[in-house]
Amino acid sequence: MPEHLRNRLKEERERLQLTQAQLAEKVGVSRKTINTVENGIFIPSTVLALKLAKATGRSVEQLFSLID
Amino acid sequence: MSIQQMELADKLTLRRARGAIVLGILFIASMATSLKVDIGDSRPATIQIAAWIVWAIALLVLVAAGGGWFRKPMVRSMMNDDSTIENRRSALVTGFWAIVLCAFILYGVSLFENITGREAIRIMLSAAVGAAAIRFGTLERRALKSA
Repeated sequence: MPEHLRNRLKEERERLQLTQAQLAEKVGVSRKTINTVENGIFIPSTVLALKLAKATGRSVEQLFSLID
Repeated sequence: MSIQQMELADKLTLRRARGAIVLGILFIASMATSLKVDIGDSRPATIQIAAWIVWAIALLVLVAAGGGWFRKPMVRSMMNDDSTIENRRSALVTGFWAIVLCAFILYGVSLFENITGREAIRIMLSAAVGAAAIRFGTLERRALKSA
């Protein structure tokens, strides 16, 4: 459920001074997908989460965490 | 993949979303305004039914396959990436519930009104395809909007 997943993708993207489009290009998805993940509308698949982690230089756990 | 291809994919995705909403609404509206049309000897009615079938198939293909066949594979893949697949799944679920609800309503109505099998199928298909298209379009539009 989207409300149970916290993500730090936007913070990490801004730390790297990347636009949504630039991050999307690095990961190989559309800007829409990055936007929906950042806004908590879409929960990424394991593969996409791993790609996002790799692109931002963080671990998946640092990007995504469950809300207790 | 380039930023230009991504912008093109975004543009086409927005166009597809708007198209799905508009065509879905028109599809349901056109069905509602032609309820008593059935295949018979009348040529205009036959043409109307044929047009409805073509329209239904086109909408189904739009929702299920996503379009963009004449674009570069990278653009097409971005138009149908993870979030679109998820939206498509939600839209098809909506279509399923629309057809179930419609079937229940038609069953109730058939107790008081004569409804032919062909007419019932047309109403149920219109509800399912139209609802799925509208849902797909609204989810895609929402996904494209920035925070």
